[in-house]
Amino acid sequence: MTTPWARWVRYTSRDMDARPLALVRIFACVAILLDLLQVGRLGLVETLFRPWAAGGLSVVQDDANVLVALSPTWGGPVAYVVTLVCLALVALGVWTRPALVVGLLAYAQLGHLYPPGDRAIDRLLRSALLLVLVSGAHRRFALTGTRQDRVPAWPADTIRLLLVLVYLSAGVAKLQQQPGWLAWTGTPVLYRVMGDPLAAHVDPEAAVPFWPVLRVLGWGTIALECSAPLVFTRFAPYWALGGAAMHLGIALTMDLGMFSWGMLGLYPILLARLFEGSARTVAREGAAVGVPAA
Amino acid sequence: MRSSMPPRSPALRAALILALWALLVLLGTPGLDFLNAKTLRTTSDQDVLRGRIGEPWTALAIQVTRFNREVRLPLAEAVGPLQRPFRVSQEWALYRDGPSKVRRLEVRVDGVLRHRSADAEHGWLAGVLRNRRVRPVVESTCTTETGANWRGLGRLVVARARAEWPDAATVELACTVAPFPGRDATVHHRYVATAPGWVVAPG
Repeated sequence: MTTPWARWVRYTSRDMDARPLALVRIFACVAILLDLLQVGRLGLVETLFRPWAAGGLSVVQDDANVLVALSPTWGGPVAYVVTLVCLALVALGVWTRPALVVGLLAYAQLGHLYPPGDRAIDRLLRSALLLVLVSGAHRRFALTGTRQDRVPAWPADTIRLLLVLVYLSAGVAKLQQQPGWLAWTGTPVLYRVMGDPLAAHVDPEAAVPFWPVLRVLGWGTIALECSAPLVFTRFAPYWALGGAAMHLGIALTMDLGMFSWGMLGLYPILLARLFEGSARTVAREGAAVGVPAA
Repeated sequence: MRSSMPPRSPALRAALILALWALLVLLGTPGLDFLNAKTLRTTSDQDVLRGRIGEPWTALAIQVTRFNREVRLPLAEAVGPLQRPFRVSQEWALYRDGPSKVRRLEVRVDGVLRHRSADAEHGWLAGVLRNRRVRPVVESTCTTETGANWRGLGRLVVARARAEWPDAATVELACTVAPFPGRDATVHHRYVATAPGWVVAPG
């Protein structure tokens, strides 16, 4: 019989296939890169990443914004370029760890410079990438360095915990809004969310006949979010299917930029069991033809 | 191919991970992120809640808000400086409700409607105004006339309009509001800039 502490020590000492974490490294960086490149394509770099006094959009900046003190005009654009270069290196697996530290610091500066545009998805991706930094995931699917197939599992478990907290927070917040999301009558909240012209592109007039469907989808959203602890069980891949459907629905109906893609970028963690299964299959087949397992 | 598992101190690692998880759970406790230090602090507030939900739920809510006030919020304040360089605050306070009314931004250049939110026929500047980083400013500007960044938004729209129509003399941003599903919208507030000064001001 083992004590809870002994089980915890064993749990936190596990290792895992490196591919899910390496994919999170790549997908999260690609989501941020595409989002920032879109800012550049729209000609918004100087507008967003300069303070109001230097010609920018926002009068609000955080205290931790050190770049404005150095140069109100160029601090933001420099942080933008540094973020792009560093996260591209991280995705490619070149100088990954130093590039990740510098890239995350620069990316955080963009948030300090322009707080209205730095949302929960940005904080979540930065948190996840900090865990990737200490995970050993820089040695898989990387252009440089020695390949490593197994890495400690605790960073992936901690990203799972972050996902549980984020989804549970969203679910509980909806439950706190009563009688809203659970109501049988009245305007479905999901209708108001998806019919908001400022954030979505569903015509609120045309969506009225779909109220019953949207009401059920709203309940389904709460059920999915509140069942997020399932990601710690063997049901994680099935839960991920529901999560992916929700995020694809959000991406199709709303204009939230990289939100859905950034969230889905963390989902390889939820499919880790499938990677373990394929690794075992490869090892078994290798043994059958006389190739020693890794 | 080798494992990166450190061979020593599994107990120390387990203790550190436990501390990290406890911190993350405390900072991001679902449901507490909308409470502040003043929530249910006075007996009158507690009595109002007791009248609504009765006991034992009010006693439970008081304990939860006390925990939030005495443990969670001081902890969040203490670790704030550690989170700031990477801007990784773990208090999620996520979006929980849709808008109660249909609000739209309309942009008119010399009286001609060029942009209306989610209107493909008037889609000038839609890529910019619906970008996820600009949209929060559009929302705050259209929700209240005292939003923090209406001057910056006005300046951006005016600059883009003047680049597109160099001979323009007036640019107007109007925020309209209507009950769902959005018929019979009325102008809630507006901002106007005119040549040659192009200073954006409430109109």
